[in-house]
This record gives sequence, structure tokens and C-alpha cells, in this order.
Amino acid sequence: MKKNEEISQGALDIRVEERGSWSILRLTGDLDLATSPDLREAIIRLIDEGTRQIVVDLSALEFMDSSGLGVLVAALKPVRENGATLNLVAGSEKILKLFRITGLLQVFRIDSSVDRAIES
Amino acid sequence: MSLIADKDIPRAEPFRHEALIYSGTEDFVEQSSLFIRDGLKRGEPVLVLVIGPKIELLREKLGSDAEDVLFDDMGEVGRNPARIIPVWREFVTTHANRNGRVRGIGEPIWAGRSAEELVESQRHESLINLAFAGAPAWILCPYDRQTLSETVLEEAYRSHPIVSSNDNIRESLSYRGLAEIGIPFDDPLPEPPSDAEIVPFEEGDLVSIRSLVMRRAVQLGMSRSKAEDLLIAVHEATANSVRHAGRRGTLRVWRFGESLVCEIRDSGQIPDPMVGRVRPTPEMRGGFGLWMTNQLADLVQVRSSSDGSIVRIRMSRD
Repeated sequence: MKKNEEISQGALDIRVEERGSWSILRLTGDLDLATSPDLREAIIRLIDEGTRQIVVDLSALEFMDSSGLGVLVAALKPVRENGATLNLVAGSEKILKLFRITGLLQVFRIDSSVDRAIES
Repeated sequence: MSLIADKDIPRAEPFRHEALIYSGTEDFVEQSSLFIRDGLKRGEPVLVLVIGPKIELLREKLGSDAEDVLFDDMGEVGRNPARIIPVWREFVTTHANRNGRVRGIGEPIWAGRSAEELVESQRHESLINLAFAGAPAWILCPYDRQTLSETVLEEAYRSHPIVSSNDNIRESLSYRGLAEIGIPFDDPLPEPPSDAEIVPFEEGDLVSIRSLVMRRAVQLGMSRSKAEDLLIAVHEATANSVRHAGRRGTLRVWRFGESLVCEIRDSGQIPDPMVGRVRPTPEMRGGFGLWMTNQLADLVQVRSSSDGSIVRIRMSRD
């Protein structure tokens, strides 16, 4: 797996990992105005491929903005329409704070680790 | 444009926004406690937003009645005055129902406010009329005539339809009305200082803008968490320029005492006077940006005119 410092500044790296029926999107770098369309595509692709259990791991992100929040919120519609699940992983206060101040803590299931996120 | 800011607020009774002109702390405690007890007697939920020392004085005066009153420290809630309306909104939507009114005391203006905080608090006072037009709420805003200037009191008459003092209650003849409040705010801001760092930006520059803001915050000795908050607050404003204002803008950064000021100018217009003061819902497309800026920064000054818009963001070192 690519290490943090190998990603150029401002870029977003998305790695997909399979764990049983779960697909985990591990994000590294910056999830912002410029890169959030990549996350939207990655989520839509998983749903199109038939994945119904998705985790987006935000814990290694350097930076995240309202565009990133917007993509995650917008993804809930196709997720629900397909009877799928979308859980988030976030550990740092820096990321959790964004969900708290926008009232989105109540909208998503957010766990502190991928292991917890894929527990039923 | 709709003058009704939020469909979730019940609108059974007309909203009453009243300035209370009082003389000194003793008078404040006396009149505020009468207002609170009158509300409690009628079974109305009561929220009091005043600075910490005044909360203590009111608790003391009210004794056991204080247990039925919600208090919040205006010094924290209202540090950035753009965060006050969402607190009232939550209170009104949670507690108002068809059977009754809610009431509250909000003192966003006191003698210790800086000039910039004062003007934003005054804007907030005007916007309250718009945010809660028709809502079943009575908000009383105390103004201390012993410590506030005549100019500040005159503005209280323009931002409140009703003004009272002791037993004297009257309509304010100089109240500016909803139509005037509903247009974008274009009161001029003081010019940035000549030593401000000026950085024009386009879509591809947002990452380097973030580095610049972080560098300036570190130079000032800002705590890590405040610097991170400022970074997001500024980023959201620059991202708005990229999204809504021809993909470009100009950032200015300068030091103001123990604070850092970051100002974003662009050619766009911000038509909604309530921008950044309505908590975004998951159904909303957008609207998160300036909300986040308001929630994170110590002070946010938004101006919009046909010349473009300005978002001036202030964050103190500690």
C-alpha cells in the first residue's frame, strides 16, 4: 500500500479492500472540492458492481471539506435505493468535528476502526 | 425571496422581538427575573443567553425557579454573533408547539464587545426579525444605557419593533422593517491594512492557500486546533469563490492584535441574508460551506453588493 508521503499534496488516494461481503474504501490525502468526485465515482462503481456493504475509511485523511461531506450525504440515496449499507470510519477529532458541527453525526454510523464498522 | 426562513418553526402567534433598555446590573437582574418568572408562571419554556457573570446573578435572584430555566453563556455562544440565531432556532423548534409560546432573553451586545463584534451583533439583531417572523416566541434583548453609547441604543430602536424600559412599552418608530433587513448586507468594512498579504487564487490554488493560512497561523503561535479550524473556515470561503464566483477570488491575510484575519473577496453575490445561519439538512445540496465557517471561526463578516462579496474571517491565537 502506498504510504502517505508518496501522495502528492492535495491529491486523494482511494484503495479498495475486500473483507468478506464488505468493501472498504481507504482514503488517504485530501478529500476536497477537487477530489471528492473521485470518491463519488468509487462508491457508485461499487454499488453498480453489486456490493451492498460499504465502509469508507476517513481515518487517514489529511484534510476534508464540505464537498467531501456532500458526496457522502449524496451517496446515501443510491445506497438506500439499492438496500445497501454505508458505514464510516473516523478516529481523529479533526474529521469528527466536521460531522458534529453539520449535524451529520446522527446521519451516519461512524466507528473508530474498520473492524468495528463491519461488525453487525 | 421568501421572508420565512425555516418551515420547521411553528408560526401560531406573532413573534415579539423587544429591546429592554435598563440602567445598570441591578436593574437588569430585577427586570429580567420579572420577565422570566412571568414566563414560568404561564408554563412557557425559557432560554436565557447572557454572559456568564449575569447568569450567576440571575440564578441567585431566581433561587429554585432557576432550575426551570435554560441558560447558555452568550460569551461562548455569541462570540461569533452568526452562531446565535441557530441556538434560538433549536430552542424554538424544540419547545414551541400549538399550545404556547416560548420566551427568552438574549443580550448579544455589551460594553466589552470590539467594534467588529458590535457591528455583527447589530446585524444579528436585525436578522432575528427575519428568522423568526411569525414564530410563537418572545425574545427580550437587554441593553444597558449606563455602559452603551447613544449610537448603540439608537440602533437597538432600528432592530427591534418594540422597545421597553421599566413599565414603559412602546412600538419603535425607527424600526427598519423586514423588507430592508432582507436585502444583502453591504455596510462597508474598514479597508485591510497596507501590509496585508495579497494572494489571488483560482481553482488549482486551494491547496497552497491552505498551506499559506497554516503557515501564518503557526507564525502567530496559534494553537493547533484553532489553526485547523481556521484552515477549514478559510478553505470553505475560497471553495465558495471557486464554486459560485467565476472560479477565482483574492485572499488577504493580516495580523490584527493577537488574531489572524483572512479575507476572501470575489465577484459573486450572496443574495440570501441568512447565509451560514441555517443549519444545513442532509437533503440540502450545498449550504454547508459558510455554515462551517461560522461554526469554526471567532468572527465572520459577510458583505455582498453588486461589486461582489467579502467574507472576512477572524481567529484569535488562543
